[in-house]
Amino acid sequence: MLRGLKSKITDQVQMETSQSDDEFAIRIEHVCKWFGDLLVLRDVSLNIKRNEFVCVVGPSGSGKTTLLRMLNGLTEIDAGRIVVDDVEVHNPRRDMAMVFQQFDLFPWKTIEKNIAFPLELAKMNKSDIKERVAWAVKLVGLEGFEKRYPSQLSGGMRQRVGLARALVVRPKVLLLDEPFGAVDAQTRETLQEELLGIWTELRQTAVFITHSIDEAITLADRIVVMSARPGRIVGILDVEIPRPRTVESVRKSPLYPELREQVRGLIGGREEAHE
Amino acid sequence: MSSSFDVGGPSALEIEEIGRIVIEKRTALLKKEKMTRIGYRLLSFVIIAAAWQYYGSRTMEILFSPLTKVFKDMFSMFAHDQLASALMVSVETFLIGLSVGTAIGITLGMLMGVFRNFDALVGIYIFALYATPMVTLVPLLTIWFGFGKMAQSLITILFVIFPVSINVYNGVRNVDKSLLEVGQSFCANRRQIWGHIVLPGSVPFIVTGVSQGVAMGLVGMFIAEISTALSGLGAVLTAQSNAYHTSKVLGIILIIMVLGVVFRTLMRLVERKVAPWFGQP
Repeated sequence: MLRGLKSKITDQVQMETSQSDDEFAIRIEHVCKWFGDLLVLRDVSLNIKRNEFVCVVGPSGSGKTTLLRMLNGLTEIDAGRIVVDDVEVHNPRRDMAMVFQQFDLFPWKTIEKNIAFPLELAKMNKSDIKERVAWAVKLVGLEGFEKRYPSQLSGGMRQRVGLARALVVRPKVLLLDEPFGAVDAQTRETLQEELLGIWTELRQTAVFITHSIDEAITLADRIVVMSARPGRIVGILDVEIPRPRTVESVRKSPLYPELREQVRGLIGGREEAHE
Repeated sequence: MSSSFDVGGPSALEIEEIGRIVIEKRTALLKKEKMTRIGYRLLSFVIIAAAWQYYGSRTMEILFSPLTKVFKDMFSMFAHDQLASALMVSVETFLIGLSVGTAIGITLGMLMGVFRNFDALVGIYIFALYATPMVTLVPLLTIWFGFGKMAQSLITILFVIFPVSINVYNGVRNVDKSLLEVGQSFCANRRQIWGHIVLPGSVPFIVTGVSQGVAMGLVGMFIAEISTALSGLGAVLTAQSNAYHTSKVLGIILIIMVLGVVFRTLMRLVERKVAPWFGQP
């Protein structure tokens, strides 16, 4: 009851402050995190602009997923703070939506119902839900699969459902936790291509975690490079490859090999972490 | 557009036709496999029945009876209404036990699974009772509640509660943590987490629990009928075995087996209805 009230107040505050023309959608200020007595994130600060696509790359154990979970309010922030749209993050919020690494669809819900899940939680009325779900289904190209169950779909298609479930919320901030890490290389490229298309259409703030340098260059406006434990930011690179992009146009860009080298150098000459 | 490797292949229409044939063949094969399984089932049936008949007709009547005599006696018992009314009484006790036991079992299991403090409060006693052979409580229950329908139902209920509640408890505890997190991430409140995630996520365990409940319920029903006021099938069984009417005893055992199978099959049907995703290919 109290929690509901609190979130209502939070919504109110957001509505009142969203007019402010602050150029940053997300401010991460001096964030630290310990797991037990192990320091996993050390003094991480980062500002992300409105409608900016940021990729965070780093080896396993750099705390990048932890950082994203903190953004989503799923993991407690031990020190420092994160402010999204002028409201400090403490709990999950309806203006942010996450795409999960292992898809994490509900096996007992049809594709349609999986995508409708966040809207049903928000108690949106049925006809609006139907409309929104149809929109999201179309956006990720899942028409005709609405009544199927996740177990009947391939990995790539399952993650399309995961993406649609987040997009259906029309979040101000889209969070993606290595969303294409669990699919094969070819599907991965297809999904990157589709995400590029979708993002060109929607233009919303996105934070994308990956350990693939190629993926980061393909998708990002800015790449944030993190070091291994304790995770901290070791460099931020602008990706000035013009949009609209395709996987191919990025590979052919003269900036591509250069960026690749730079990111590698920052990570410490190490190969990308293996999956 | 067409490159050298796809020259002369089938047209889209032809592929569709081929597809139809392939699917038809596959369906036919699946059907054949199913028929084969049914065939084996019938075969085993015939073999057991023949062996039973053979052994039964060669041994002393007090030890075993041929199948034909078992059925004949079964029908004569039905004809003299020794069986039908007893069966009704037993099924009634069993159904009361199963439904009340399942309801209490599911509630207990859910509460224990979700509320850590409730688990701390009662969990250990539920597990202790689960580990206790229920038969040992029967004499006590007859002292407390007498020998009537009430006591019999209570005994059956007790047999059902524990397997159900333990299974449901495990189900709730084993709900995928990452799915709970998805709920949390999309701002689900407590009730929504229950309805959308915990409850459907533990359906397989609930089904297993209730299946075990069916089996234990039958045991409970019989023990209740034999150890309290003799009634129902338990009474018939006791009377016939005391009189060394072996064929009739065998007949009653057969009826109980059929009863168990019928309830298990019903459970399957219910499961397919409420959880169509479960056991999907």
